[in-house]
Amino acid sequence: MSKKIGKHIAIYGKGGIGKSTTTSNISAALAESGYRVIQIGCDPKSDSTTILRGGNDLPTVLDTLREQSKVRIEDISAVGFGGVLCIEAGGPVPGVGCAGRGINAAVELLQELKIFEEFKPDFVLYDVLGDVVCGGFAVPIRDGLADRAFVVTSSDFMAIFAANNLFKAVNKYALSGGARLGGVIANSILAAYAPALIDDFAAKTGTQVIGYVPRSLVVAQSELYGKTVIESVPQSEQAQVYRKLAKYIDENEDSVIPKPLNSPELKKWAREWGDRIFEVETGVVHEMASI
Amino acid sequence: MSLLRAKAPRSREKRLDTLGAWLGPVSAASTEFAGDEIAQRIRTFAQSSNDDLLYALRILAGIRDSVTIIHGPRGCAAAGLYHIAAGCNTRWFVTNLDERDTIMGADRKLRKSVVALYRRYHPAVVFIVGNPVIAINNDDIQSVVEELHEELELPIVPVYVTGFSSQNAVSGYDTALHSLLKYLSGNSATALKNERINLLSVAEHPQDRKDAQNLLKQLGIGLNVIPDDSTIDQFRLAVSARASIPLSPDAPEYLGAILDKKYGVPLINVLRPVGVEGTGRWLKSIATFLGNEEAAEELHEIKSAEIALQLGDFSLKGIKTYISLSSANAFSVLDLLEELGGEVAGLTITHLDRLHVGHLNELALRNPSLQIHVSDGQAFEEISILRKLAPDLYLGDATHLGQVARLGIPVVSLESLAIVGYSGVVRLARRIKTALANSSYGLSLAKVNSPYQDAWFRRSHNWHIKQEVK
Ligand SMILES: Nc1ncnc2c1ncn2[C@@H]1O[C@H](COP(=O)(O)OP(=O)(O)O)[C@@H](O)[C@H]1O
Ligand code: SF4
Ligand SMILES: [Mg+2]
Repeated sequence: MSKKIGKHIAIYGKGGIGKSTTTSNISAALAESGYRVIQIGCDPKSDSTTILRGGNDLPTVLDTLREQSKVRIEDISAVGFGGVLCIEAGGPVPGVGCAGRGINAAVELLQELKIFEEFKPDFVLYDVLGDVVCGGFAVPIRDGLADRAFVVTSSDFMAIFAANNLFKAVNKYALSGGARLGGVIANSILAAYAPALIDDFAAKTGTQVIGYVPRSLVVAQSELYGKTVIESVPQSEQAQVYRKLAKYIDENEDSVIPKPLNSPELKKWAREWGDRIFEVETGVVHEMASI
Repeated sequence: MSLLRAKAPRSREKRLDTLGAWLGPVSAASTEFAGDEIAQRIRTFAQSSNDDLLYALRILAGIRDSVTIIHGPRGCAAAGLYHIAAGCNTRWFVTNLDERDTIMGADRKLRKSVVALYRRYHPAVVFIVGNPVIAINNDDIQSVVEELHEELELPIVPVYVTGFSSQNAVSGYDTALHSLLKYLSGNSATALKNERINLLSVAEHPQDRKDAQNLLKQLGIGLNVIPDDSTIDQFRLAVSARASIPLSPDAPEYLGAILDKKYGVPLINVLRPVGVEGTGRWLKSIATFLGNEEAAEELHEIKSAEIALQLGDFSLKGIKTYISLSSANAFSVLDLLEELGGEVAGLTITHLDRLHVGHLNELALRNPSLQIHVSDGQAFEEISILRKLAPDLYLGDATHLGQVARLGIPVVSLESLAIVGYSGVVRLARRIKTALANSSYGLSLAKVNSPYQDAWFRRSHNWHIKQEVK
């Protein structure tokens, strides 16, 4: 592969945790500050870039992938807010085929089309479906495609579990040219204990939280308008949070090889937090629990 | 009821403790199979290996009025070549899946293929055969089967071969037979029985089948031969037969067992009709079942006398033979060689399992130190064994005869030689006679350098065979 054009960043996390919302707002914020950005949705749901392009139709890469027909960049991309180039890898309908192989094939096609050489992005953001369940979903962090991976999580155990799985995959591939971990994005922060819980998980696994995104009505409202928060309420506090995230990703190149917890460790860690939360909710006061 | 409910049968390892790798004296094999638990063996290196897809296709190729679709990428068509190699002329096709099909699912392509082939050939049945790609992808064959079965009013039979569910290719026979039974035989355990007898023939030489058929005809037995060289109507009739008799206790075992257990068609348990005694035993087993023992006795007498006359003073006395064949075949050829006065130096068989326990026990009494080598396609092991044993003659299928000949050992190929029945004895005797007489060819071949290094010959013969650690 020739020299990489732009910084390539993969964003993972459990389904529904807010990857696409967060990624799109980061893309929008980066574009707003003058960068050329490509956002690639790697999820058969194909809705990663919806709020960047006002909900307009966009054929997916896999829809257009046929041996004979010549695919052009214009066929599989749309220009969204702030000039962000939006791409959806696409995938099979639920229940058939293999989504993981789809991501693989879509990424290969994008390379064939020389999309990065043509567009010359400063940033490429991959928004990747949920848990790393198989080799296919690990494609963006394997083979040196992305330099850094971030994980979006809430304080829910299942989201933490998915994050830990991503750490396992990063850990496996980082030494052979795969992506390293940039950090954790804490999303949908509502409960008082959530930041401390996520901080603790990050510390235990040798990484750090790079931003806390509050759960906010503005997000839901903007989504209904088919827009990012950056576009629809640029003055809001929430927009500021996303700008801060974008700034961190832009200015900070720190990355680590995380130390995922094994499953007894993870269970034990979760149980301890269960006890702590219970104590907080029932008013037992410990010195430590000043959260 | 539940016997045929699954998509595919349990593997031979699970049903019969089948081993694909083993080496040791027959006494040890007999002892091991006397126990409840058989430790699986694995090969840490294999030179080549058969695939269950090949075995499944071999069964399907027998059904004349069928069309077979190998639902996979074009490379899977290589397996279809086996149809041709086996001398079958049924029609087969490959759906030629491309990358997109493997991602998005290929049911549309499959549907199109079935409809197109139906319109073109109007077959009595369409087989859809799986392979590793389809199995890993979980491609949706079932909905195509169900939809088109109604729409075209045509039996469509999915054969769920995976290529990895079993380590023993012979499981492929079972997979195909399971599907045939499941989709063609219906549920009628109470089917009205008629007088016919099923002759179960799987992957047999046409002449072998014909000879066996002729013998049974001479006893006045009406036959329905399945699945080799048959039609789907014949296959459907199998459930209403009076009994089944196999040409081999091994390959068609699953068919015989299900016809017996699910459809109440008794299976006559008997070894291959090979050798004078073996053929007599085979004929008498079915005749006894039908209460017609004298006729069989009489026929056997006449035929044995004829054969004795034709063999004259032919004898294998002093000749040590190494046998390398599919398992049931090997055991029956062993009996035949002994009948001809010869001795057996050792055996290489494709697999070993509970179906062979009878042979093992009997051999363990007669010749406990006889070495059994279990291998399907490991010529390198066999060559090393043969160098050590230095037999006078080698009987095998065609796969590595050339290499054996280079050791200077006279070889006889059983690939295209019919050995079933009384006349089979004479055919084999003639072939052996020729091979032993023309040893100069082998001797000059032996001057060619060995492809193996001496270091390999110094290794123990079970160097790569290990007990599986769970
Ligand atoms: N910080 C937040 N505050 C409020 N709603 C949010 C927030 N983050 C995400 N959501 C909402 O959660 C839902 C799922 O988010 P989405 O980004 O599509 O998740 P994913 O891409 O991880 O599947 C969306 O309806 C989105 O608007
Ligand atoms: S788990 Fe992965 S490899 Fe398996 S079908 Fe799903 S996406 Fe494909
Ligand atoms: Mg999403």
